[in-house]
Amino acid sequence: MASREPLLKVVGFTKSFGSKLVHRGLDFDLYPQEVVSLIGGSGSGKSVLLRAMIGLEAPDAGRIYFKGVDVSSYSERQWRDVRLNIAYAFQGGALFDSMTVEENILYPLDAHTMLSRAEKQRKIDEILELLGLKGTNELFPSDLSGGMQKRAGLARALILDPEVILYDEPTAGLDPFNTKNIQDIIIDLKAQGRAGILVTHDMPTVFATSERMALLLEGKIAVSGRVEDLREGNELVRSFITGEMAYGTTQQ
Amino acid sequence: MSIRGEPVLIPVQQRSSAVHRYIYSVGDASNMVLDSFRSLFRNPPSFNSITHEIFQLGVKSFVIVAVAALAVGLVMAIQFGFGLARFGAKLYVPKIVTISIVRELGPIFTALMLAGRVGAGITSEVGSMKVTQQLDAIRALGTDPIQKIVTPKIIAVTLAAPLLTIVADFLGIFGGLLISSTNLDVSAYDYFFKSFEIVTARDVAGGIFKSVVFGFIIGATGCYYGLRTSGGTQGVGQATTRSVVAASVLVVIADFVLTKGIWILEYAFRSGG
Repeated sequence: MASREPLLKVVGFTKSFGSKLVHRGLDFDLYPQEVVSLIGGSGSGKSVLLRAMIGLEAPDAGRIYFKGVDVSSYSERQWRDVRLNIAYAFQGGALFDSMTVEENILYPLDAHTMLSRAEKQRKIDEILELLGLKGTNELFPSDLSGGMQKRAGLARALILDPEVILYDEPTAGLDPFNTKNIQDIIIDLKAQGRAGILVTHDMPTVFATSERMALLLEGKIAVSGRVEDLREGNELVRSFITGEMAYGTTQQ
Repeated sequence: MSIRGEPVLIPVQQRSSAVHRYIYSVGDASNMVLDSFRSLFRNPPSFNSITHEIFQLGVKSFVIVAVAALAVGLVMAIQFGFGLARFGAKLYVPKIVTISIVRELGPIFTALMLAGRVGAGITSEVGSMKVTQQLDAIRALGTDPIQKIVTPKIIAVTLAAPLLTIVADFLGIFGGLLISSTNLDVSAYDYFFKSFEIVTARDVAGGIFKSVVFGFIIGATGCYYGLRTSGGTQGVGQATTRSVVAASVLVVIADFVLTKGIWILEYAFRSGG
């Protein structure tokens, strides 16, 4: 960790949907230039927590800090400025299906920059090459494979050079080649100094990309620590990885 | 959560009574419309986005509106022609057809056609964007779905509806002319002369004003139900059905209120003048 001041910090996060309490005063933090994986069973609220960190979900209670500033009670207008620094890579890409790949990536540039068309084109071509999507500029999302859609969505999220990237199941449904491709991209981005939070069930990707991991169980972070320490040394993490953990009950 | 993802005082799931849910929906829809108005001044949508929507929603509705309007004119002339012929009054057909179309049938038929075609189209498009997280993506990219998606569509339908109503008026009157000149022994010259003799600027203005309001209702209703869509592709279908029903009912109710209001204004105008 390059700095002891967290980039993102979640304190006492509580969220319920109807009568179902999903998060119960959860604490979580992310430091600069690290990738933290958030693992847990399906329906444990990993994606909801990720969405809350970019203001797409409002907490019922608790605080979210970005660079030390409490953003949890921000209005939609205030969140828009925060979102220029935190990118969200949606599970399915969430590309605008009426636009081409290039138009999708151009969208945030048009909305937030005063760059010339030539400069925008240069940035688009660079990011497409970085993500292995060279030559897909004029294709529509429906023309792309699942893996390419994820990468195009990531390209759109990265085009404004965010400090933090929130990855929502980036390798779900991908073949080993595309999974490795996404892992390499996450590692490259980390090497460029971009911190990330990775929500996933894909343990090889966790081991390949992350410094730390946190296991979400019964609405709280049950275990958190360095990946190499938890991988073999923690019974709860081991039982999650081996599939022995029964969700909804803590088996310690 | 409100329609924009911001917290509201009481979660909608906890509103057990239908009255509460209805009041919540009206409040939420009003917020959406207010946000849309605000975005017009704070960060207006691009001219290109509005013209694109006018083409998609307005120009592409031309044929269906034209066919419906022509059919209404034809049927009106047949019904009134044969009905009034019993009293030897078929010469009144041009005046009755024209005044009915300009004041009432042109705006309302155009609006109902648009509620079906455009209202359904807007809801299914916005609803699909909602369930595929495209609206979330707009927010996550630091932009506003109301400004990017809702406002251009509401403006486009509000502008397109009166233009299509003018087209519908002309074609409806033309339909009446076709029947009158071929079946009722009324010459085209007489039809035109009698038609434009009876219609005043106030009649035309009243019909156009109503169509502006109808267009706004259709655009806002379509966007509202689209933004409230949940539950995947099945949810999109349900939202679309609700949207068309709601827009049609609101248009009919608004028609009564506006017609009564315009009538009161005209009466006051005549009494004063």
